Amino acid sequence: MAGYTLIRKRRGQIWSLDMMMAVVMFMLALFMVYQYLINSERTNVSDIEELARDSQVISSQLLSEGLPKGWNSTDVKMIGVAKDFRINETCWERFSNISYDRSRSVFNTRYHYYVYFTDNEDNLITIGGIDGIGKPGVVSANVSEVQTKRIIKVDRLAIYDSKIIKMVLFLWE
Amino acid sequence: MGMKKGYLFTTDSLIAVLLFITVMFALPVLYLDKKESTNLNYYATDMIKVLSTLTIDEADNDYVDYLIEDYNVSASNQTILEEVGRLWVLGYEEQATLLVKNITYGLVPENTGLGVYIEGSEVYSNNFSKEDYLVSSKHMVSGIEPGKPITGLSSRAYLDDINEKSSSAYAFFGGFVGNGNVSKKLFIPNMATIVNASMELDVTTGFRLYINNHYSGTFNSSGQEFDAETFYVNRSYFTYFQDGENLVKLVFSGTGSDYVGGGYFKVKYSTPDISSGDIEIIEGNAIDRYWFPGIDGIINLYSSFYVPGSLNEMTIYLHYFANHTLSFQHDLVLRIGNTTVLVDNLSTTTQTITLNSSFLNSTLDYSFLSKKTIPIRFGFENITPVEIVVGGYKGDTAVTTDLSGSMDTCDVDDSAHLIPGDCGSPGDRAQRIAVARYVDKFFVHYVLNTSGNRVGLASYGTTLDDSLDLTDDELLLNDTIDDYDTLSSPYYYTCISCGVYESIQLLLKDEDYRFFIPRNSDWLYNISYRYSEPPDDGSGDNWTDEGFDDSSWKNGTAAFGTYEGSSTIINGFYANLSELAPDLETPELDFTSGIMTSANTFCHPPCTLSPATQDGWDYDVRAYTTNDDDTTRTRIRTPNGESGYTSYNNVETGSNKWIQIEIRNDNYARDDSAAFGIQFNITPDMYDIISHGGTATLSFDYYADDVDNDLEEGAWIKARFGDGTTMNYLGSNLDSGDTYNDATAEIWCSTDYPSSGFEEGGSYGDGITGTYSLNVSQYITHKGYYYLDLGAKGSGDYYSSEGFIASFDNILLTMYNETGNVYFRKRFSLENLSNYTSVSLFVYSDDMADVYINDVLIDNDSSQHDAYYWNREVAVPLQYLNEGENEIAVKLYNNDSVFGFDLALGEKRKKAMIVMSDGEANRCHGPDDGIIDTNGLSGSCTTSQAAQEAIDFACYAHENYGISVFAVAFGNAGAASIATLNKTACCDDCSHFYTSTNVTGLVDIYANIVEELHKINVEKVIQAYNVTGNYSKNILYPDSYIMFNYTPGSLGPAFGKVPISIESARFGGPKGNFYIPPNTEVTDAKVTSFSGKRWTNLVRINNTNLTSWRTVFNLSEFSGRYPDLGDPYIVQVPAGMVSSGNNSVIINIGDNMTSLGNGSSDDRAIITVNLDLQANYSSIYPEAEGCRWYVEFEDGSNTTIKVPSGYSGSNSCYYMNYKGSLNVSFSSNDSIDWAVYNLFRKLDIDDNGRLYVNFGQGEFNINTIFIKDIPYLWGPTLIEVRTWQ
Repeated sequence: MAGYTLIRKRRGQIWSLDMMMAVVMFMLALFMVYQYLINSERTNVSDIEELARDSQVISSQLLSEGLPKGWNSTDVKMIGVAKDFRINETCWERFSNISYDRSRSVFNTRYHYYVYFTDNEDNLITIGGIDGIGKPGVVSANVSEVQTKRIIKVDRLAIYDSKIIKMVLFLWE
Repeated sequence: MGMKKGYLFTTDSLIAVLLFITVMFALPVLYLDKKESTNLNYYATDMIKVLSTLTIDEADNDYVDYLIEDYNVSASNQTILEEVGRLWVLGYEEQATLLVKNITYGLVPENTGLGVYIEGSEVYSNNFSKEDYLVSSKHMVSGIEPGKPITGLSSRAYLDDINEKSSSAYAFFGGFVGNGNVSKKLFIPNMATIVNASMELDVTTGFRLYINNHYSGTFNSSGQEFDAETFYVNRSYFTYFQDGENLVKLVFSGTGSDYVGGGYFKVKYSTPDISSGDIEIIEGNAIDRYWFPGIDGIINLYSSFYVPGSLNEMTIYLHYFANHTLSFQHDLVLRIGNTTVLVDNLSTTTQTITLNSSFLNSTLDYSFLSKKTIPIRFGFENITPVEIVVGGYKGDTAVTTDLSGSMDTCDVDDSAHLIPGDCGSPGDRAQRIAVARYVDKFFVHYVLNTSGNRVGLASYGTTLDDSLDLTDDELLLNDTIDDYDTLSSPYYYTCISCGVYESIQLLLKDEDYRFFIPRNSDWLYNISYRYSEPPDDGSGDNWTDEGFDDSSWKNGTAAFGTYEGSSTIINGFYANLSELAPDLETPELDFTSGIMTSANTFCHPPCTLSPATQDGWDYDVRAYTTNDDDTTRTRIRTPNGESGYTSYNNVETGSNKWIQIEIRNDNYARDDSAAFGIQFNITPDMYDIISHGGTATLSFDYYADDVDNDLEEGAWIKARFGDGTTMNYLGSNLDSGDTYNDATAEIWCSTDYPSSGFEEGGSYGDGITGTYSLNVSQYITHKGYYYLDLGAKGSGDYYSSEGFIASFDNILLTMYNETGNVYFRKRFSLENLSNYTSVSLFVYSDDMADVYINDVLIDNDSSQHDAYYWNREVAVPLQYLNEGENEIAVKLYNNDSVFGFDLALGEKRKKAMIVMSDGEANRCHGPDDGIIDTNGLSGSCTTSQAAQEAIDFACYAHENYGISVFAVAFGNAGAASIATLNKTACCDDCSHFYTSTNVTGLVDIYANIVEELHKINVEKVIQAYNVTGNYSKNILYPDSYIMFNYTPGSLGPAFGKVPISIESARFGGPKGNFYIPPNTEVTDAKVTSFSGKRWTNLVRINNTNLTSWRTVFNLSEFSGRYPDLGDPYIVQVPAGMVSSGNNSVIINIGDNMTSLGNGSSDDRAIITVNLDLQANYSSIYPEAEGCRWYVEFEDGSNTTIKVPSGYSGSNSCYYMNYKGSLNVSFSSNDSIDWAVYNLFRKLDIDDNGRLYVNFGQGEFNINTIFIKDIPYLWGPTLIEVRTWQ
């Protein structure tokens, strides 16, 4: 067997070295990005949790009787528009008479909100002549287009006019 | 090669860097994009809740309707979830699935799975495939369980008929029935068996009882007022009772003053008649009667009746004998509520009078009387032993209310439970603001109870919050008060002075209210008869007669006279040359009119007016200057006479004009002076005044000012008065011994240290002002012309540009009569005289005055005095006033040179304010308080001065307008607040300060204020006549009645129900309680009130439904004058206000609306309930066999009954009383036994094991019904809803 001559191709070596450096840099970049996202997500998750928590609290309050029982716009401590999941039209109307800022204060939330009802085919249900309640200028048709970083939509079920309907609550920054 | 290596490295690195940058930018952007999120958990939990809430009979769903039609699904109150379970366990699995599918359609998003499972078995699933997240929610449903039967037996039981019911018939007496022997009709149902008969009466003497005129026993009384004694009728007399109408009569052993102060005669009976009574119902309207008691003695009835619906018609039949010819000459009056419907002051024989419906319809307010306990009074007027006097002075009151933040404190003791919605522990505390509303409304009601009074409102916090003008509209006032609430930041501070200030404004806004002749009215006057009265007018009418011809008399506006501020000056004359701004308030004769029309004597050469040259002090250019340069040296000018000020004829006499003399240096060492003169023409009339002792007062204002602010020389203002021949220097020799001096008197001078400026001014250039006044009558010795010279003089040391200006204004010569009378007349019109209870005359006079109204001397003052508002206040008997035209004439005696007159006629009204606060004043009213601001705090009042401002305002109100000030420290007011309010009250009377920490105390305070303010004399009044000596008996026959037609709220008990009356125990104290068993239908509730000789005033109720004390009867709603009103013994409580469980009642008695004495401890409640003679179906049990029942009844009897009637088994069941409690035994598996037990529980309303209805075997029928497919109470079974994504 004839002897072999090992020919070293310097070009290939150069490519491999460059490639290794590039991979190292890329890995480094990926690591930094990952670190950034993890840190970023920690913050965002906290905000989202607060938004979600407020949506849970507010929607649950709305599906209660509120406080005190038979509350009115003057003495209200908790806004509730339902009893046993049945929407109370009078309370809904009283709710509409509370100023937006005051209602946010009663809800104890820093977020904006808009709430309305739909049937099982997502048709808007008007109760007591009121389409929805929430941030002035917002209606059910445009609430999902609100310009914001974060928005939460919560669908809850309730009973109105002998039907099961959906209470839709939007909450956003 | 080296170059290539570099290229490759760079390219790869660039790629890496680009990737890095791309990721760095892209990912955060993507991440921060808005995110819409839904919460899966809600779908499961909400779905389970709504499906377990929405019921079959409620659901608006086509499939539910289909099931009801085709699958024997009953439109029950079963929930959807329960129905799903029921269908499923019954084998209708497809229907269960479709029910869930239909009812949940569209309720979850398409990307969400939904399933319903029973005990893990799928009932329905929408088969959404993805399942990354799953949420489950479960609900327990009873009555179904796989493998168990779901049907059983249910029974119901009802009474076909009853042998008897136990109930009672009552004859109520009172509140007060007297004086003498009394009787009353009593109605007992047909076929009744008398169980017992008793009386519960407040009597003070013993009596004999007659039942249907049969002697039925003698009873002794302890004689204790307000105590109800119980008397039992011996069973042996029961035979005297009869079905239907009975008459029970009490024949007293006393002397004729006897009475029943409330009570009843009760017959307890058993009857098979289960109807509600004797109320006749025709076409939906009921007819009932109130039967008057019989009275044999002196008719004196205070009672009540109740219309349990909307009153439509009323007829009154009275049968009585009142002999007006002998002892009793009093009006016999029947009053319904506060409306008198009969007055008999003539009859001497037995009367049968019918007041028909048309008369009563037009007389009574049926709407007001409906559904009310209506007091009725039938008796003689004005023979009660003590009279009551209500309403002295009419008046206006401004009530202030503090709405500051502290008023929401819950610390006012309300153990009397007067305030609805008590707060705080232990439930007898009230919020201050709630108490304020209560006492304010109480005050309003009490004050307005006397017509003619008015109330205004002012509420405040940091500032005035609200106010209401004086009004007698109680509804409006109450509405305003109802709106009172505590204020929040920044309005929650306490500005007491804001309330006081507004109160003053309210009280002064309408000062002439109810005055026929207000202050400052126009009058006719005559000064021509100073020493003798005016003669008659030629037609025989003298000056005080209504028809006297006074067309020649002068007209003027009061006040008349010489006092400052008088509108019409008579008997005196002014000359006013010009006015120094501001104008004087009083219009006066000036230089161009009146007595001075002959022109002034001002003269500057060449003088053309004679004898103007005689007035001496006119500037003489030749005497005082060598170069005729008078225009630059000494000059006389008007204030705006910058040019031509040497002209004699440019003295202006309009408003804001004044005249000046300017003294300038003339470069010669000699005094410079100038003057002008005023000529007065003393006419013969004037001289007559002077010669008869009158006065002539000369006065003028002067002003001196240095022209260059450095006066070094002497300066004088001088004046002379005289007839031209004899001129008298006025003033005094002020410059005696000074550096500069002369020999004559002066008005003013600066002559001692002129180098340091005006002596009186202090420093250079300061102006000196002054007013000079002197009685110059000594210088007037004849009629004709007189002169006043006014002049200025400067010393000869003046240099150029130096000097001073003397100015004069308001030059007055006033002459007053010393003696001589003035006569005044005025006509006025008067309407609705009957609306006035008192009219007073108010006279302002100097000196005394005789006042005639319609030619009748009403007041003749005999003392000399100065005038002030008002010297005299004299009550005017109403009979001297005419409806329509009236005339008033006054002779004013004027015994000196000063006099005044004004007069007002009308209703005397007191003005007062109530200043109320619960805290320290910490805010001022300022900054501009107008004339009220007497303390100089305007614009600078600080928080620490707020209290003083409130005090100052109140004192101003009292001192200037006679406003009474009452102050109330509310609740636990602090020491500072108490001190402020105490001082505020002391502006008027320190005894007007009040404080209390409890509601009843505050009510008393406000009541005291009303009584103090209006001098209401509330004497203790009792209902009984004080009968002494011989008197003629009179009789009210017990067949008298009030029949009323009304539309009842309900038409009696429904089929299958029977009314039963039950009594509570005696209340035993001021607050009573009674218990209503659960699920009991109350149809009638009343409470008794043993008020003795006083009135049942207020009745309130509270229970768990009401949550606060509610008034069910308030006697003052009818009138504040209780002797006019009846006195209820029975007070109706609206059945709707009575709740199951414990009910509490408070009864107050008294002689007037402010008296809230405790009711009798013997009071009690009498309740009528509807007993249901049938029970609902029992629950599901496996058996329906029956039992032999041993039953006990309320009357103590017992029976044995087989249920069902054909039962032949050996089971024994018991429903009996054992040691006072229920003792029951039956099979718990038998639906019939359960049905019977349920029925018995309804018939045993006091749960003592004794039934209120008595029945026998034939009347008691059990109907047993088997219902298929009724679920047992198996389970519970878990039904689960899952959602996933």
